[in-house]
Amino acid sequence: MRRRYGYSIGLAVLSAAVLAAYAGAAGSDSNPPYKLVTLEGSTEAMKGFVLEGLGSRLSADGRRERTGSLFLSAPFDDLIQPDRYSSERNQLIIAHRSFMRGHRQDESFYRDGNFVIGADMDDSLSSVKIRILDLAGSGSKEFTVPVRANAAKADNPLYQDKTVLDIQRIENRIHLLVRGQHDSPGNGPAIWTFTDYIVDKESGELLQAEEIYQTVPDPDPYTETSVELIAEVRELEPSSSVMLNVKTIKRKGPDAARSEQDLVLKDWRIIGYDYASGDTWDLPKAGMDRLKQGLAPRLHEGKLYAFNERNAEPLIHVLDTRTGEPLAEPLKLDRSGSAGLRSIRLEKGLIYDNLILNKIPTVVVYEEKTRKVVYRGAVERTDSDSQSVDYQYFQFNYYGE
Amino acid sequence: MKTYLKLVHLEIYRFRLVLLGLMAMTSAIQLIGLQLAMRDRLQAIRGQLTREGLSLAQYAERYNGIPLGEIWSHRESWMTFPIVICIGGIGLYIFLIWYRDWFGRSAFVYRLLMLPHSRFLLYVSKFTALMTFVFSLFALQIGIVAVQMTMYRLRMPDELRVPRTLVDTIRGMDLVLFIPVRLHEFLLVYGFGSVFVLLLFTTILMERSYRFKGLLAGLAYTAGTLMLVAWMWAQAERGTALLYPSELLAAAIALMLLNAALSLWLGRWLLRTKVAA
Amino acid sequence: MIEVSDIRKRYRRKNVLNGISFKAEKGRITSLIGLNGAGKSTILKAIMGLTPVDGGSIRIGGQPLSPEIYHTIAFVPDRLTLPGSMKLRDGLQLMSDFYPRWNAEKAEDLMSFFRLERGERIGRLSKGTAAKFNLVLGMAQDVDYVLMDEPFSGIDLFSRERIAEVFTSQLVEDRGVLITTHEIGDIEHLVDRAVMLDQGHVIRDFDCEEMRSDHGKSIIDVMREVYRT
Repeated sequence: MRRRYGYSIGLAVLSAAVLAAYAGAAGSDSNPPYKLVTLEGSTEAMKGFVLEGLGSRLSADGRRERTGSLFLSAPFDDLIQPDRYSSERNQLIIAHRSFMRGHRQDESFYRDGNFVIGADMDDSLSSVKIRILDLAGSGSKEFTVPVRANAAKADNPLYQDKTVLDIQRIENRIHLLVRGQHDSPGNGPAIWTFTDYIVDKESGELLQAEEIYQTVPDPDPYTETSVELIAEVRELEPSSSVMLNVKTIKRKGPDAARSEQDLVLKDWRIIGYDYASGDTWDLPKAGMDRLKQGLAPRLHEGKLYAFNERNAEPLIHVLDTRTGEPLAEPLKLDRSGSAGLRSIRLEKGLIYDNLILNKIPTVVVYEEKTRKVVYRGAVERTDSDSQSVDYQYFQFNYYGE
Repeated sequence: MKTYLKLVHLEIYRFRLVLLGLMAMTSAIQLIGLQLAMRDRLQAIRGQLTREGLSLAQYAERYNGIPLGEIWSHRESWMTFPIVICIGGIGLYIFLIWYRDWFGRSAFVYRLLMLPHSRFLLYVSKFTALMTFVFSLFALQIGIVAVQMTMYRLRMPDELRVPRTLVDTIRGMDLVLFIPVRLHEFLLVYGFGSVFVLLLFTTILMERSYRFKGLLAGLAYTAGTLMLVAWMWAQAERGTALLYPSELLAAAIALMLLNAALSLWLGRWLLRTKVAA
Repeated sequence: MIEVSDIRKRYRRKNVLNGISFKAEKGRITSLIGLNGAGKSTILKAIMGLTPVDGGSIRIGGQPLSPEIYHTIAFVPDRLTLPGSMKLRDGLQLMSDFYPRWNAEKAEDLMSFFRLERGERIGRLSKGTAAKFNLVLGMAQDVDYVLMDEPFSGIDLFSRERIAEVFTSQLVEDRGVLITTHEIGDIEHLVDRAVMLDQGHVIRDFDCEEMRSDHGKSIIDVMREVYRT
């Protein structure tokens, strides 16, 4: 057997060598062959944002890492999957670890300089738990508020939808915007209700429940009303008002596919609601006409923004929420090299435009007030053997620190 | 130390033919599979060229090249099937590496237990040998992909080739579950896997010491641990979990380290005092 | 001296060993005698640590059992202890690798004495040849004690004579030998001490020389007395 030690030794040494080489190759390969290069301005505005594409995640300060090839370790990433407009939640988790424990997927959060407030509908859909963290240090409080949201039928897919849509604090009152659903008499489509539950911040007592809007079912079975919430684009920020995008759509016939050509817009309203005063109003016709040019409305910092990302050269309109009148000249964005692949994000008085400019994925950041470009950056390939970035669309996401 | 190495050699040597067989089978199936996949793809493309009246260069312009990781389309099972067989074989040998000493005409277990050396060396050497088999198959897989890259380079026309590094290619395949490119993935998969091997080893010794009751206890504990870890993994995605995902991971790792220590300690004790030849 | 004190073992509701005590001294050949199933093999295995006991103690040279002790004892069981696929020379190599007290010269002598072929595979040996090889493995170690379990079972007459020769010439010297057998006829004249077992108890334990001179009885005579009733 002595002379056959070679077999075992050979096996072990060869395997170890291959594995070591592999580890080395994998280690040196951890940087993707792309980077985000600053063409103009400062990277300050891009803090926390990343461009993701071609298996890489790039940030403006030059950091690049690979995405993908995570299997077992994937669920253990502490960052919430960023979606288009929210995901500052991981900031909350980092800042308030014990407050957020077990509650990181609660329905709605609010944050200002003094408080962090979270609200979650319980499983029986009959009460909302409100949790308040006092940032000045006196700990956290919890209230349970009874709420009539009326459990939808179990087989209704909307049963799983978020029902606390928004939460705001005005002085000592907490406002919960709750969407409910109940059956209409006589088997028609369900009725959706939008109610503001006003709760006293100190005592947790329900002060008032004000219904903002209720859908009215149409006798025509092919006509449907959908209500979309237009809330402040930054989920956690205080916002004194909220809007509802109410569209009544008729399908052409029973066999009509749900494609756009077969749908006819019968009615369109945008209803605004002010939390503090309780006023509701309809956006006047002039404003509606402006929006009818195919623009999607968004609320940010108390102003109504409207733009269509799919335009090759979109205009960003800034309108007054009450009157629908423009507050400033629309901002014209660069012409996209690839229609339809673009995302625009509003944040803290800045407008982020992620598009393909001259074949290259580019981000341009404008300061809204001055209309000046505060940052412009593009993705570059660092290794000419790798796939070209031409016409590759990169997702613009908030990733946090 | 020398005794330990000799024991490891003994175990590796006894298994050499089976290991060679597994390696040969894996290589053959995966390499032939690639040839077949390339043949099918090229045939399909040639068909498309004649139908659409394109030249190869025009095709490449319009549809982009095909990197190695994507040649597989419908035939990826040619890659995964041998891996499953290898896993099954090694999994079976976790048990056979012990039981083969007991059963058979010769009672080799007598000889092993009577060796004038610590019996714990038996446990450790069998574990080492098993891990060597696993990592040698891991290394083989990397080697096979490297050979496949050469086969790809020789057979695919230049216009359709998308040159990628070895690591890049593996990263894009399902294969990366078994040959991870990230260190923490590797540690998770193979670290947790090793601890399960230790749990099974000790279960086998429990059976050899306490017969059916021992077997049941060992299997129950191992299954319980598996379920606990799976539960923790699932919890990491739930927002209502009281532990953050990073904390769950730390807890899972702590649990596995504890189990490793427990298995080793119990295995050693059983070998010393309770195992019957 | 191998000292077995009051060992007990229960196996599947049967008391295989019911408080067995005896001593096997160096320089003597001690024989455990009993009918089939009396627990003889179990005792040897217990001394070798191959099966745990439920009570009592076993001491060798005053020391309790431990891996170090097994440097000084060799066991020749009634089964082959090496994988059948190995050749005899590989088996010898294994012994040399793992046993510091392996005496390769003595192994060579014994292999020639028994006329064993090194290139044969262990699994293909006949019963008699296998038994001889087992003896080589056990006796080529420079140990203080040798335990043998039924060394003659299934062996032809001439091979038995050769094995008995080994007993007288090479084996004893100053070693302690403990064997179990029920073919006492072959070595009756060699055994120094006889320990007779029945139902897990020691029923007779005597010096053979004394039994012969004082009572005029051979071991077989005593066996007839004890086991016929």
